[in-house]
Amino acid sequence: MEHEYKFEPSDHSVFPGMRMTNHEIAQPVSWDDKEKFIRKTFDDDPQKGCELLFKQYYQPLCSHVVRFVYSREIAEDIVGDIFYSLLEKQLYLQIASSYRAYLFAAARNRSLKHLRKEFGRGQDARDVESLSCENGMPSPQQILVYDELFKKIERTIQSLAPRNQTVFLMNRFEGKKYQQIATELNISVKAVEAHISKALHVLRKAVRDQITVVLLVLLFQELG
Amino acid sequence: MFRVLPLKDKHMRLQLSKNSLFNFFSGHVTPLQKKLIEEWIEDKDNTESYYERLEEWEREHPQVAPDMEKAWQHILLRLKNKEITDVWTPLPDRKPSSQFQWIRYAAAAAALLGVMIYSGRDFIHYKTYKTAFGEVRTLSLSDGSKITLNANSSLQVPRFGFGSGTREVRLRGEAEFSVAHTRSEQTFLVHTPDHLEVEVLSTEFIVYSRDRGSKVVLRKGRVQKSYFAKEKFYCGRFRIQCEGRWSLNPVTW
Repeated sequence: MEHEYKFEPSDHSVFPGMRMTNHEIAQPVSWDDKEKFIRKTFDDDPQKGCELLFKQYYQPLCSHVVRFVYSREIAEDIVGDIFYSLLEKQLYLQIASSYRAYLFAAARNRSLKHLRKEFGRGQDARDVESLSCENGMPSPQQILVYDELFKKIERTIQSLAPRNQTVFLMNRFEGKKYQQIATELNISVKAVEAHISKALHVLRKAVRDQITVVLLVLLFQELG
Repeated sequence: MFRVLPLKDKHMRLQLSKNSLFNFFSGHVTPLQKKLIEEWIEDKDNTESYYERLEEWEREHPQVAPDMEKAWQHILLRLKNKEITDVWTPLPDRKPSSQFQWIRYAAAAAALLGVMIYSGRDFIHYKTYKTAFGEVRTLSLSDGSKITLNANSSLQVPRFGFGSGTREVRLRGEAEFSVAHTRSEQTFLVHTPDHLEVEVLSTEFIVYSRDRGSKVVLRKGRVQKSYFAKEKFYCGRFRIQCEGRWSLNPVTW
């Protein structure tokens, strides 16, 4: 059965940007040779296998998580933690989907957990924890609400006033301290604080409802 | 492991180009396109393709350029010191309550230590000489000064640093001081519980500090007397110069 896939070129490696043919679309293309190779490496030496995964996915995962948490540092922490628990809790033994799907799903769940902690209504993140994707993969509905969430965040950041946005991104993305930003932009530290709390306020307001939607879908899925 | 669909189903499947998914991720789709993509995603068999596209999209539109080597080393380090790290590096996904648990313990321990040091500070800092009812005791300090403690009195002398910088003692009760002069002209300070301070260079005097009140009796030389004024305690102390003009009772011996 497996070799039926083999001769199918995974389209991104050959013609990036090309329209897929009907034939290619019809079958899930994820179980490519690389996945199999990594799976085999995991059997021999988990740490080596994890390193391979890390090398392949760390960067795109960070890039994805950043869309949710809007902080480079936090994104790197979250993604690093996924790989850490993969080894530490031997989660690699339980992955039923492709590694890619697992990692992206885990990244999204952890991002949500972080957002709840930062912007949530003060409940603790325990119920999300129980809904983690570590065993089951998120359903299509869950995928869609996550998509909606990061797009909403993106839109919100874009809707910020330019100065507001600059200050916020300098703080969250470049990890600069208030004092540093104040000096660079030639404004007072008070002004920097005001910009950031304004940005956070807008973001919180926008994200809160979306978080609730995601949680509802997650819960619904869990019950159903 | 995976399902190969019969050929007939393949052609019934929804077609979706990579570009339209990319546009969907970027939020540049019309509502109708969006609807179409949502339908495509809702087909569970497309889940893997979806994540593959997502990865591709992230690769082509990177938001960050993380330092991979450093991050990997950090993970290895965490695995190596698993026990230690678990205790004091809060993992991002922990609940805040358990995340700061160790801080609470540390704070409690620090507070306890602080209280112990605070309550024991007199014992740590000072050596105390005490006289009982009817007992008179003569002491020699390391700088050569001689002190005669009258009955029912106590004198506290610093264990550390006495004679280097300052010479300060605390007296409760009554004592006669015969202060030795030092080359560096160090002052000698006597503190009493009612915040009387007697400052001298080299002289002989008696300090009396009982419940009834405080008195300084001068025998030789000069002293300076200062108070912590109670109502001005927080603003600092002020000093009263009193070179024998008042409050130093001229006593003939």
